[in-house]
Amino acid sequence: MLVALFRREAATPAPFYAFFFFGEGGGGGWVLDFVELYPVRIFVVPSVYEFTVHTPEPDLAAALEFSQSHNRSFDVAEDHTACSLTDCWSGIWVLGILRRDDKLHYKEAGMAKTLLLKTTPDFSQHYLYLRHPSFNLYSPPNVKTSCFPQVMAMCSSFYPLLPINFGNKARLIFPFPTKPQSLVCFKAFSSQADTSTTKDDIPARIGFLGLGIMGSPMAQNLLKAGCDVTVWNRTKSKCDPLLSIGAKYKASPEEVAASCDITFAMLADPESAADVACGKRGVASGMGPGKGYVDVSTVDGDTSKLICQHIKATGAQFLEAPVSGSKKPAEDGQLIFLTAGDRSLYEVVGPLLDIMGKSRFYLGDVGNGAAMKLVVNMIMGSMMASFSEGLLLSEKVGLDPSVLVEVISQGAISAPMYSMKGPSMVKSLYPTAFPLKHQQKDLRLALGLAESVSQSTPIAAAANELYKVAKSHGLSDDDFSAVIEALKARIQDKK
Amino acid sequence: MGEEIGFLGLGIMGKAMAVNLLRHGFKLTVWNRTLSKCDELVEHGASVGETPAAVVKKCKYTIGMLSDPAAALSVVFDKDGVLEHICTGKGYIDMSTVDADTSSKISEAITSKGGHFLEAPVSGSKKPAEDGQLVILAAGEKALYEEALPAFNVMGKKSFFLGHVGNGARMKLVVNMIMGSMMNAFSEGLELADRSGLNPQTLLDVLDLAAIANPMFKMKGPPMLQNNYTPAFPLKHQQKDMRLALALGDENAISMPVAAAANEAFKKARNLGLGDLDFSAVHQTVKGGEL
Repeated sequence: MLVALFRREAATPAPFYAFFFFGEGGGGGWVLDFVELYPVRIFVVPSVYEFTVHTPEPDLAAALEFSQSHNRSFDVAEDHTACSLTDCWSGIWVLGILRRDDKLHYKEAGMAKTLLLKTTPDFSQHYLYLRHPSFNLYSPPNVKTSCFPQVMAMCSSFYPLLPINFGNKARLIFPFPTKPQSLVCFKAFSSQADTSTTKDDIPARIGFLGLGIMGSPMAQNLLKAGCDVTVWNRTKSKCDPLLSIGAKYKASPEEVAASCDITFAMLADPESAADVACGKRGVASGMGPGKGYVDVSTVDGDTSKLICQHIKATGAQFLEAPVSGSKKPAEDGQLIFLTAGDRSLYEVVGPLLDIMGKSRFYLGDVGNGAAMKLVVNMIMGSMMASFSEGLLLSEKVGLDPSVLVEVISQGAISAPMYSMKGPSMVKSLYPTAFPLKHQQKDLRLALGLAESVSQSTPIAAAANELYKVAKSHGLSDDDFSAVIEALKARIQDKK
Repeated sequence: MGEEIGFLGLGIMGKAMAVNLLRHGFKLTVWNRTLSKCDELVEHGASVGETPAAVVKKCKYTIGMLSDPAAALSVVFDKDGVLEHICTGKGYIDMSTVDADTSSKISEAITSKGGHFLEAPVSGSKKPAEDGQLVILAAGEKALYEEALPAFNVMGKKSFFLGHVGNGARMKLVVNMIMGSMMNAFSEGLELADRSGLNPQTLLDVLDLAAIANPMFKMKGPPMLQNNYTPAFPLKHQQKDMRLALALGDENAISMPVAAAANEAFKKARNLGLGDLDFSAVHQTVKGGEL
């Protein structure tokens, strides 16, 4: 089965990319079970000479009609989680729409795979990743074909891309095959790689400690991608959603570590991280040669080094890997990993990080990942505090703060954080994606880092004070955007 | 606006905006305090006015793009200024960034002579000005705003009409206040990364992927790492804006500790003689700040 990629002509802020599966001819068929549809829209339209692009879902029935009238056997499961095509002859089958960083988990012939779309920031180059728990395939330019020589990423025949109107049933006449009228970025590669080569690319048994706001969706993503995951959480009930989708359970970090090859931990603060790793019935007691520990918590450098010491003393490997990104990026597998520590462990867990995240960095010695995370969150905390000042000032001088949010989104300081948080802040709502107490913890640790290198950080210090005030008024568990309350004359006490 | 438009002030911003208008077929009569700065505009097809008054006399609409409140007031109120020939049927559009009081003063003077007034400060610096990608924050007379839109759409990518005079000025100051604080936070971060043994370029790469990614970090980051502070937006003007924003907060007893800290850093930078460099030169202040 061949997967190809076309780009929509019109440049929009978030271009759509249609991906097509080409039947390879000769009849037979294939079944695709879509494990997870979000956020991909799936519709199947078979056509050799012409196809119709529909708007999502409501028109799936129309697609069904169209396909049946063209003598194709085409079935979609009622809950739209699976589709199957039989007697699939050569042709172009529009299978779905992907946007940048979208992920599609599916199973083909029982094998779990992930389709992922990446582009360069200016959308000039785009490429598909096809991922399987045991291997990664990349279309050019990042072709990693050393494991699978049969995988070819080829730019083959070009098909003209006419403007696709994602309105109602725009019809495109699409001769097949044909001379290209315009060059479009077209990458095609075969998804039928040689899977008989089994490499130990992914560790078999994975442990996951800490199932809070972040840990739970991260572990879920691993499970959905087909990994073998054993979980633990201080409050056992938080494990239930994971258990219901196939996770195993052990009663202590020690037992999880002992029964797994790689153990991840996502704890709230340095104290918990150290306790889980080095404390009674902790990870270190279950570690040994051949195993690895990846601490994804955000801690200070000293705590990280302490944990590292304890882990390595058992003969195991250690990687600190704090993340940038909060609840939604965790759910969508869009985190950024800032790792440091054992390079070989980094290489081994790379595919796992790719399931949970959109990018990863290796920064050298233990301490560097922690420092990078703290620097990023220091800037973020200051930015949120400044943004709060602006929102409040604009309101008090008679402007509409929603207009301020819009003005900012048009200019040089436009950041996703502002567009995302601004509207709810204007309404004094702070749904928790990143708890305020954790932002303040990060600022405190960053100030400590700054002091250790003799650097004055007045803006971060001023911002930190605001978070402290917010905490003292009971806003610890609100989203960190609740810092705006600290600026108000009369703060709604939530004690 | 098929008629002749006046353009007063051909500095970093004014020149780029005027060139843009000329390239799009607008007829301009320009003026600048240092008349020689008009020469390049003449090459693009502009005529020259000897004084602001002469420009206003000739043109139905005149745009002003001056560097600060003093200059903005001067072109209006001084001898041979805008007021001498402003009258019914003529409009003055002040795109300078000033405080709300200055803007109100100018507005009153213009309208009391029968003229029409619009304040329209812009968000964006040199490159957006050159590329016609400014964000225009207009307030004042709605009818004049409608008439100015063709010119605004050439100079900018989006225009807002914010109501009565003063609102444009205030909105601009709030935006620049946040921008000044962000530049300081960014500088602190770059310096901390460097001192902690991290590669500052890696920090830029991480930031570019994060929820706090923004065009300013992307544009300014690399030259800052090279200690390159070629001015797109002079530091002294950024500090002026912080000061005006803090004054706005003062008037209304609004707490603004982060902005206050940022203003201190910009003041220090001016003290170090960095006022004419790009506002990102505040990075140097952060670098030097030993405990």
